[in-house]
Order: sequence, then C-alpha cells, then structure tokens
Amino acid sequence: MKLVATMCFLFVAVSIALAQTSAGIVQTGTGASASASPAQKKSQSQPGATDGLKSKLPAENQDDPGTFRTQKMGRKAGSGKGLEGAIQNAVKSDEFTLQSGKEYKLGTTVNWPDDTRKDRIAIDYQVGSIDKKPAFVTVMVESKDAPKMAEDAEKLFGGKLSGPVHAEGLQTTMSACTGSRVCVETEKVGDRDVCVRWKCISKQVM
Amino acid sequence: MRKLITAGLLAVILLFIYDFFFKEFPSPLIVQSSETSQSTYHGKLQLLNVKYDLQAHKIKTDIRLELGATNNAPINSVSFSPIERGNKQGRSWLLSAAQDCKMETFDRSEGGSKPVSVATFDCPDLMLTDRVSAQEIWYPFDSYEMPIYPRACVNNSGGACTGKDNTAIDAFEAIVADQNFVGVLDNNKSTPGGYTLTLSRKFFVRMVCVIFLVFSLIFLIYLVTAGDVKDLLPKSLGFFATLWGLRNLIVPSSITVFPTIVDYCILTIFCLLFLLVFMKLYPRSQP
Repeated sequence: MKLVATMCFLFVAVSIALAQTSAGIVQTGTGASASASPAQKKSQSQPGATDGLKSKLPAENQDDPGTFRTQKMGRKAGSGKGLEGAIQNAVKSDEFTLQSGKEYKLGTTVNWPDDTRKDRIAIDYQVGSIDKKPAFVTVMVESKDAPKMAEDAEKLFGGKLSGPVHAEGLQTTMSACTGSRVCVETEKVGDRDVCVRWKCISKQVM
Repeated sequence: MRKLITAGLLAVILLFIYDFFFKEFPSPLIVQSSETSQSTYHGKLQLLNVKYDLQAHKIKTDIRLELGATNNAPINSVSFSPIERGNKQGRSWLLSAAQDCKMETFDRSEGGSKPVSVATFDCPDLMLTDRVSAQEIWYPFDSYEMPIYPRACVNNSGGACTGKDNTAIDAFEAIVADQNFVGVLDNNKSTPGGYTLTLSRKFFVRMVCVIFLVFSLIFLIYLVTAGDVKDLLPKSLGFFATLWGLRNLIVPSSITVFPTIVDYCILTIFCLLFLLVFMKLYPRSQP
C-alpha cells in the first residue's frame, strides 16, 4: 500500500512540477511579447492573414461600425462639395480618439448619401494629422462611388482640412495634409478592387 | 526476439542515414510560372530569411521584388501586395511612394541590347500569417502553411492596384533561414498566380520522437512483465526520470506552448506505468 501511495505522490508531484515549469516558460514568452514593438503588439491583437503585414503599413483600425455615431448627408449631384462639407461638419462637431496609440479616428461615421443601401462600403480617409499622427474619418459610400485615383478621392472627400479640433476631450490642432493621398488597402467588391483606405503622404517621397 | 531487435536497430540506423543524405540538405525552393503574360513589367519575387517568429507565433520574412521592363518603359513607383486576406479578398499594399519599402531603380543592358529599366523593391521584417499559433501543440508534428498571392503594379499614381495589373510575377523563390524548419513551395492550384509555402519541422526531430516513443513503450512492457516486483519502484522512478530527460531533449526551451503532444505522451506513459505496477502489486485474486 505504501508503494501505491508513493507512486500517487510521485505522479502528483511530477505533474505539478511539469505544469510549473511550463507556466514559467509561458510567462517568459508573454513578457517578451509585452516588450515587443507597438507594431508587433498590434499584429498580435488582430488575427487575420495580413496582421503582420499591416504592422508595416500605415496604421489601420477597423473598429466595430456599430459603435460609431453616424452623420447623414443628402447628395448634391455632380459635386463633391456636399460630402466635403459633411466631413468638415463631422470633424468640427465630434472628437477624434486615439486608436492603438498610432492614429486618430473620428467618432462619427459620415454616410453618403443618406439612404441606407446594402452595397455600401466603409472608406477610411486621412483628413490630416494630430500630434504627427494620422487622423482618419470613416465615410460610408456606395461601392460604385468609391474613388479609384488619388485625385478623385481628394475631389470627393476634400483636400485640405486644418485648425482646431477635439481629440479625446481636449482641444488640439489638426495639421492639413500637405502631400497627396495614396491607397494603402483594398477590398474586392464583385470583381473589382475598391480602395478602402486613403493615406496622406508627403510630396518629398512622391 | 534477437533477430527482431537487430532488425529494428538496423532500421533506425538506416533512417538516420536517409535523413542525413536526403533531408538535411534541402534543394532551393523555386517555382516558375507556367503562364506567359503580355504585361509590360515582369518580376521575380523572393522571400528571404523566412523564419518562424517565436514571440508572435507567425512567419516572418524579408521580401525582395525584382522588376524589369520589357521595353523602354520607366519605373517610377511600385505598389506590391504579397497576400490576400479574409472573405472580402482584402489586401494591404506596400508602396515605394509611402516608404514602406525601399526601392532602387537602374538601367540594365544585356548582350548589347537597348537598356531597360530595372527596379528592386525590398521590404524587411514582414509578418505573414495564417492563424497558425494553435498548431504548436502538435510539436514536433506541427506545420505552417502560407498561401501567397502576390500582385504588383508599376507607375500607379493611386497607390494600390485597383485596375488591371501591368506587372506579372513570373518566378517565386523562398529561402528558409530557420534551421528548425524545412520548406515546401508549390503553385496554388485553386488560385492562378498563387503559391503555397509550407514550413514543417525537420524529419530528424519527428523521427527521433517516434523512436523514443517506441523504445519507451517497449521498456515499459519489459519493466512490468520481466522486472522483479521488489525493484519495481526504483526502476519506475528511473524510467520516469528518463522520460523527463527525453522531454527536455525533444522539446527545446524555445517552444513556449504547453502542453504539446510530447507532454501528453509522457504523462500517458507514466499513467500506464502506474496502472500496470498497481495491477501487478495488487492482482485481483488477492484480497
């Protein structure tokens, strides 16, 4: 009977030792992750096929669209002024929040036009920079209206926007985009690629 | 019995020889596209320094894209995306214009012909992933598959390729830098223009695991059937110490996942040992 008790004790002791050893290993791994670069942290927190790749690209963050307030706008035929004005109003009336410490995003999602059709697509458009971090506005547009070229995007969404804005409860200043926009992310809609993220780049690197 | 043991040991030695000569020196991973394209620009994609990132549990690599024009067309900017993600076939784009990657352009003349524009496009330390981290539990039988579907555009002012691509990637090469893995590169049959890179643990590690498992089971049976009852406990202790040592030998400290299949096997063997010892010490007939 003593032998059985000894064997039981041995089994339990070894199992605990094994678990503790491995827990130590896991903790070591976690600590290493915690000291990783912000880009690495981001790539870990967003499961997806291009997670790591995204960390190399300009910041992106697709929050739950349901959490956004929305601002609806009627279409003004033949002109991008209506949407540009809506973006300006949204920027003035709402505040930007910092996403993952890398970029600012406006709380309001701008709907264009105001009817709710299913073939809409969310486009992140960089309107300027706050504290040298890119500031984005999300605009919901019909996929057929999504711009393909940088000039079309600037014409539709607006080129320069600067001045006092609110960011996380405080008033701050947004710098205008001095360069041009480039598309850094696309999605397939039907059989064509639609740009869903426009980022501002300086003219020096063009 | 003697013949059986001899044959088994000889088979193990043959496996070692096979591994050394046929598995330890893998051939280069190169795939050439079978399709001929009329594109203005042609390129060769290289995944250099492919390795498994232990902290991120993802595949990390340097990417180099070499592009050349078929005529005197210039190369001013490059947009490149190596993989597609999600149901919406989304892509993140690496742009020379946005300084995500480093681009160098120059002219090249071959055989006295008219010089053409050539560009190299280098992107260091990119993470490629296919949600593989859960597979580490199967160490050393884990493998990681990466579908790669590269697209590139030259002189696209908008950044990403939103229209028809003007660049064809004709060749794809991968160099695995992680000494713990071997790679296999194939054309992805379901996606024209796509490739699949699979990283798996070396054959030697897998083979040694299986051999140790078989030896452990044989010794377990021997210990219970042929051993003296009085010596059973010290021998069992020694057996477990051996198993623990083998575990440390097989699973390196860099494997941060617990438990792995090796741990399951060791604990199962120990449970079996305990059960068999118990049954031997206290047979049914004994009150």
